[in-house]
Formats: sequence, C-alpha cells, structure tokens
Amino acid sequence: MGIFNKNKFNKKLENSIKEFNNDLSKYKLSKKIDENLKLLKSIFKNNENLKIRKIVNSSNPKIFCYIVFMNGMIDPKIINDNIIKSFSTENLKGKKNIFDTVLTETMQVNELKKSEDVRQIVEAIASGDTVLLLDKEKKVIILNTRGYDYRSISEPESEKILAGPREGFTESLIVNISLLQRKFRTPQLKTKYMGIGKTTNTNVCVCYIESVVNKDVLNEVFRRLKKIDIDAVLDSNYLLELIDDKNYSPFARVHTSERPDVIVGKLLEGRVAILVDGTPVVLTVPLLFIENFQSPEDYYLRADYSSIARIIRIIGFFLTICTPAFYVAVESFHQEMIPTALFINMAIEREGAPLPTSLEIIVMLIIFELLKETGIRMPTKVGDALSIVGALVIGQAAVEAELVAAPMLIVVGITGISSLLVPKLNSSVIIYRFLILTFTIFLGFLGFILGLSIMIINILNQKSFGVSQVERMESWNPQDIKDQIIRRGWRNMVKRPGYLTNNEIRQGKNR
Amino acid sequence: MLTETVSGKKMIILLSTFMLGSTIILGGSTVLGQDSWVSVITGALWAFPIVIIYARIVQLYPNKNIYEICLDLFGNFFGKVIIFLFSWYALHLGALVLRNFSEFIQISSKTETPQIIVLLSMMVVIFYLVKSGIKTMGRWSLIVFWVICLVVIISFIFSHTGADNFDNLLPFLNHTPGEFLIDSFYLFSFPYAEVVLFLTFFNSLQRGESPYKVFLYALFITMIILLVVAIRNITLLGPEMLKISFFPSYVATRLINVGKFLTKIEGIVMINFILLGITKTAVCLLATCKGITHLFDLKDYKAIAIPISFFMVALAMIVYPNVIEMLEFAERGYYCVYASLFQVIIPLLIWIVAEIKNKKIIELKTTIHKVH
Repeated sequence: MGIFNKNKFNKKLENSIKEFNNDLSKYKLSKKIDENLKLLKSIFKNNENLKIRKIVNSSNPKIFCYIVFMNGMIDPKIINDNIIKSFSTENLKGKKNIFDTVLTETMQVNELKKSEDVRQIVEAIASGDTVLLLDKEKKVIILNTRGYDYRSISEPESEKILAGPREGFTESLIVNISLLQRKFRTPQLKTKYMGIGKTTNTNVCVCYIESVVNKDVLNEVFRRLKKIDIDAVLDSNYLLELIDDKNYSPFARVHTSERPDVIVGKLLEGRVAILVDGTPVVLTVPLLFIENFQSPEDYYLRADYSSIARIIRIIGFFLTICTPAFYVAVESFHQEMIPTALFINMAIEREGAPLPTSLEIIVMLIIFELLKETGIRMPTKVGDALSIVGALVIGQAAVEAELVAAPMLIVVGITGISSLLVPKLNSSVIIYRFLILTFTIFLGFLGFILGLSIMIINILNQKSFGVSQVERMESWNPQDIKDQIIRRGWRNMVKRPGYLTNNEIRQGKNR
Repeated sequence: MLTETVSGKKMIILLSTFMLGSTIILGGSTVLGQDSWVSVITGALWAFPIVIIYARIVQLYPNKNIYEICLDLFGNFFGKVIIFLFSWYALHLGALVLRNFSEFIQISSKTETPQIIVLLSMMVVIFYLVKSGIKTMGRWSLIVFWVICLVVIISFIFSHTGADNFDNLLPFLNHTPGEFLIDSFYLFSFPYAEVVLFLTFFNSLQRGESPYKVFLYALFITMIILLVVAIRNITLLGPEMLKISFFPSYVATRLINVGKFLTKIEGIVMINFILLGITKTAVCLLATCKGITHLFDLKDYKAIAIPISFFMVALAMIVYPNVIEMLEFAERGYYCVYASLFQVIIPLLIWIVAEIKNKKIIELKTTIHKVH
C-alpha cells in the first residue's frame, strides 16, 4: 500500500459519503401524495418497521391523509387519540386551506411543525416522530409522537455514595436533560443540540451556564465537536477520544460522571457538559487534575472531614504508584536505609524465595491485576468466591510454600488497596506504576526519582481544552486553593475558580 | 513564535533552584574550612553588581532574549560568533553538571554501573522537561524548591541531635583577606553568576514584572539556603573532614542519627541532588537549544532538542577523565577564569553597546521630536 493507494481510498470514501449525504437532499417533495409516499417508501426500503396508515375525514370522504411512523419508536396512544381520532372526526368540509387548519386546529399534539426538507422528514421518522401527508400539498407536518421505554432513574452503580442525592442519568437524552434542568428554576441553563455520526446521527447536547461559562472553552468545544467525522456514536467515550487533546499521556483530560448533581456542580464552576443520547455517562471539560481526587460526597459531608478524605486519596494515589518501586529500591539497592534488625528479618523471609525481588514483584502485581480484572467482570457471587481463592491461594499458600516472601504480599496488598481509592486514575496508575518500577529495577533509588519526575512533569504539562490541569495549584491566593487539596466550608468559597469562568463571584459573604 | 510566559515568582524560584544546582552537592567551596560559610555571603555580594547588569540588559530589551539582542547589536556575523560562544558555554556547563551528578551517583551508590547508563536515563527526564516548555519548567522548579527546603530544614534540625558541634565554626575568620577574596570569587563564578544563562529566555517573563526584583530575590534566597547548608556541613564534619570529602553534603547527612530509627538518611538527601541536577541541566539544555536555533535560523527549539541532548551526554562522558580532575578543574580556579568570559566580559560588552545604542536612539527620537 503506497501513498497513492491511500489517496485513492480516501477519495473513494469521500465520494461515498457525499453520495450518502446528497442522496436525501436531491429529492424534492411533489404535489402528488402518491409520489411522496413512494419516495418515503423507497428511502426506507427493506425496513418493515415503517408503518403507513391512511385516515379519511368523516365529514368529507374526499379529504384524507397518510401518516407515516416508525413502529416501536412512537407512543401509540398519541397517534390513536390525538392524530387519528381528531383527523377523522374533525369537520373539514368547506375549509379553504386544509393544510393550515390541520396544522393549527386539528392536531392535538404538543410539538409540531411543517417541513419541505426530505432530509428533515426522514430524520424525524427515524427518531420516532410521525409525518402527516396531505393530498395536493408540497409540504408535510411533523408531529412529536416519540415514546419508547428506557431504564428508570436509579443510583449509578459505579458512583455510589453514602450522603447526598441518589439519582443517576439514564440512556435517554431527554430524561437526562430534564434531570439537569429540574435543578435550575431559572433560565440560566443553556442547551445546544447537534447530530453527530453519519450513520447513527446521534443526538448530542452541549450544556453550559451562560453567565459563568468561559467563552474560549465553549468555542473550543464546539470547534472540536464540529470537526468530528465518524460513522457512529454509541457512547460518550467515542466523543471523549475524538475531542481529546492529541497527547500520549495516560492521564484523563475529560471528566466523566453518571450523576446529575456532579454535572450541575461542574457546570456552576464554568465547565461545559456534553450529553450523548444512549448513554448515562456525561462528559465535562476542562478537567483539572485535582478533580480526580474529588468525590461528590465531599460536598455533602462536613468540610473538614471531606478535606481529610481528599488528602487520604492523594496519599493513596502516590502509595499505589510508588510502593512497589520503593520496596525494590530499598530491598535490593539501599539496604542501609532499613534498620538492621528489620533487614535481618526480611532476609530470613526471603531465604527460600526462588525469584529475585524485582521479578517477584512484577509477577505478583500482574497476578493482582488479573484477579482484579476477573473480579470486576464476574457476577457478584462468583466474584466473592474469586476473592477468597485469590486471598487463600495466592496469599497464604504461596507464602507457606515459600514461593513468595511475606513482605512482598504486604507491598502488593498496599498497592492494590490504595489503587481503589482513585478509581478515575486507574489506567494511568497502572502505567506509571510499571514505568517507575522498571526504572527502579535498573537504577535503584535514582531510577525511582527519575520515574516519579517523569510522572510529575507529565501532570504539570497537561492541558485540557487550553486550560492547564494544575492551573493555580501553586497560588498563595486563598480563593484559588480553597477547593483543591482541602475543601473549605461554603462560607469561605466566595469565588469560583477564576481560570474556568468569566464570572468569579459565586455568592455573598454569608455572615 | 508563540512564547509562553512565566510569572515573576516562578522565575525567582527557577533561578534559585538553578543556582543551588550542583553547588548543593559539591557544598560550595570547602577550601576555607570553618570559614567557608563567609564566602557564601561575600560571593553573593560580588554577584550583586553583575546581576544588576543582567537585569539592566533585560530591561533594555524586554521582548528579546540575549541571542536576538546580540544579532541586533553586533550584526549578523559578530552576533552569531557571540551566539556560538554562548551556546557553547551553555552546552559545556550542562555537560559539567551532568558529569558532576553521574560522578556523584557512581561514588555514592552505584559503583559498578557504567556512567553512560546514569547519564542517559537522567537525560530522558531532562529532555522531557525541556520539551514541555518554560511554563512547565517554572512549575517543576516550584515543586523541586519545596522538596529542597523540606530536606534542608529537616536535615538541619536533625543534625542537632548530638552529631553536630558548633565549636567547629571556630576559630572565626581565621584566614587572610586575600584568601577570602579568591574564595568568594570562586563562589561568584560557580553558582551565582551562572544565572547569565537565564538571559537566553528571560523574555518569557510575564509582562510588568521587574527583572531586578527577580534577579535579586533569587540571589538572596539562594544565599540563605547555601548558608544553611554550609553551616550544617561545617558543624557536622568539622573543617578538616570538610576539606577532604568530595561531596560534603552527602557525607554530612550520613552522620545524622535520630534515635535508633532514623539513621543513614543520605538516601533521602540524594533526592535533592537528583531533582536539582535535572533542573539545572534542563536550563542549560534549553539555553543551548535556543542558541542553536538562532545560530542556524531555525523555527522551533523543540525539534533539535534530541540531538543536542545526546551531544550533551557525549560531552559529559569525555569532559573529564576522572573525578579528581573534575574537582581540580573547579578548585584550582580554571573554571572561574574560563567562565568569566561568558559571565562577565560578554555581558559587559553587550550592556555597554546596548546602553550606547539606546542613548543614540533616544537622542534620535528627541531630535526628530524637536525638528517636528
């Protein structure tokens, strides 16, 4: 495959895409109802879900209409009562402009519009609307009859908390928006819809709060969303990867959550939320690094307690990354740092172990990751059994058989437990844990510091939508750092983070 | 080219971490024994006027780095000659610092690891830091600075657990003024005046920040920390031990012993050395890259950072045959003489020419004003 072939392939692809898009816009509605019906039928060829029904007006059998809808996407009650019943019983005899009468008087549907654009009509049918065609008209009426089942609102499994609201997003975009909107009894929440994905044309909604959003970030979000050229969007992660900064860093630059309260909190600090139809996971940008350590619960519990929890999470983050490497550095390079009595103990423990420390720790960490991964994917009951097997077989048996030194199990245990403290950083934690471990195995304490330095430079270097992820972390201004490592009480958080918003003042003094 | 800016505070910290750099390992000058802390102060006093001149150059051309100033003042040919000399100094200094660190690591812990491995692995981090840009370097230096302060303060406090002896500071001022003068010039050229390299990217300073403030604060902060380190080393080691040890800070912290638990914490002190070494070499690498960029009229320094960092490693390998020669190069004063060309003579030349040109421009402007 040379460059030429690739270009040819690209051209072919472009042409087929163009054909697909032009396909619909080249069609025009005609005055004859039969031809319009035929057109719709040919567009939805081989799709037996499409239903067409003729309705005749009782006052004048010469007046009739067709309704076209997609079975399963509609609410039959609306079609029966508010469309079929009203059209057939309405007295249309002698009305001059039947189309306008039907549009304004007959149809008892909350949302309706007229349209001539074939593309719009097709999109409406595909998304559950009903299209009403009248004879001798070059336009149609699109009626909102969407209605399909979705999962009810429940607490998200991945973000369970003890205090605070328990609702979570569902797969329906409209429901999700309503979950956000019902927290604002003001016109502040803005929503902008767009369709992304050439085959699925998935509904994507960008939400922000007009008075606080940072316009640069907002424009950047729209710019990146408009640049997307993809086949299908089935989850918000599709968008996440496409709008992300081009960067090989393993740390996330977009925040994801399934909780409306979290998203509203982010919006109120000037961030932009992106909701995708068909998934409960909502994105917000930009992401600051400290957000990885914030939990929604932090704001529902006492400030001092949540500050302590946050500090513990940060310690956990460093522990899970550094513990194995530090153990290797001390155990095999800098034994002088261990008190002598302890070192003798450790040496006795290690006596029978067949593998060198460095290899042993890599094997144990991989086994731990295996256990964790299987535990997550298994049904709960199997998962419980698995953890027992893991603890007994890997833990006790390995030590008793002198395959593994006992201190090693403590190290792996600390690493594993503290990794659960920062679920949002899971992937980056694993990558950096092994990177620092590799450096340490070759260079001891020096390698440990060098590996850690690479990670820290990576964090300092990161940008999310033009905002540095550690922006103002180093500031001495109390308002800048009140919600970073420690959370102060609401009395003290007078300002919003200034680099995220145009409107810094959050509240009055409350004194 | 879009330039990133650094706030004045971060620039101060970056300057101090740069100056602390390898000095914190080599412990400054140890020739004067118990009086070596005096030359920390007198060296800073020496550095005071030259640092003012650096700041003045920056103030005259706030939007340009020293390479651009050279091209402006001396034309294309002579400007490029000075650029070449300056980038050579940056490259050489980077190599010297790298070698100091690899030598230290070989002597202190990894006696059998080839130095090239240590050098290359350090270079990976340094290269990444330089590629991340000046803004990240500013943030990085802030973290490094706090780690250093913590380690220095902790080791200073812990040194008061029996191992130290304040009698080691006596007899007070037991050297001739000539000795003090020479020693303070040694300290002037080794950490303090090396900040001349910052002129190569001082235009990244945020608008409205005073360069005088940045230079002087950095000088002061560095002096205080070096003073603490010097006093710690003297009280722990005594003048004779101080003179014979290669890396006094490392040897000194080895003596710290808190109860029976906290012993041999020199491994922790090694953090200091590594972090500072990374920062100092990164500044040197950045200065070199910018110099080469201007020398060959390239667009972006990041593209040539890889070859230059390899070149720096290679130079660090061949720059000294062994550690004795490394210490002699510094201690016998060869370095002072060699460095004064870049630290004093070239900046003085640039400053004088810049002042004359600036005066002419102002005169020209006023005459034009009068004619109109």
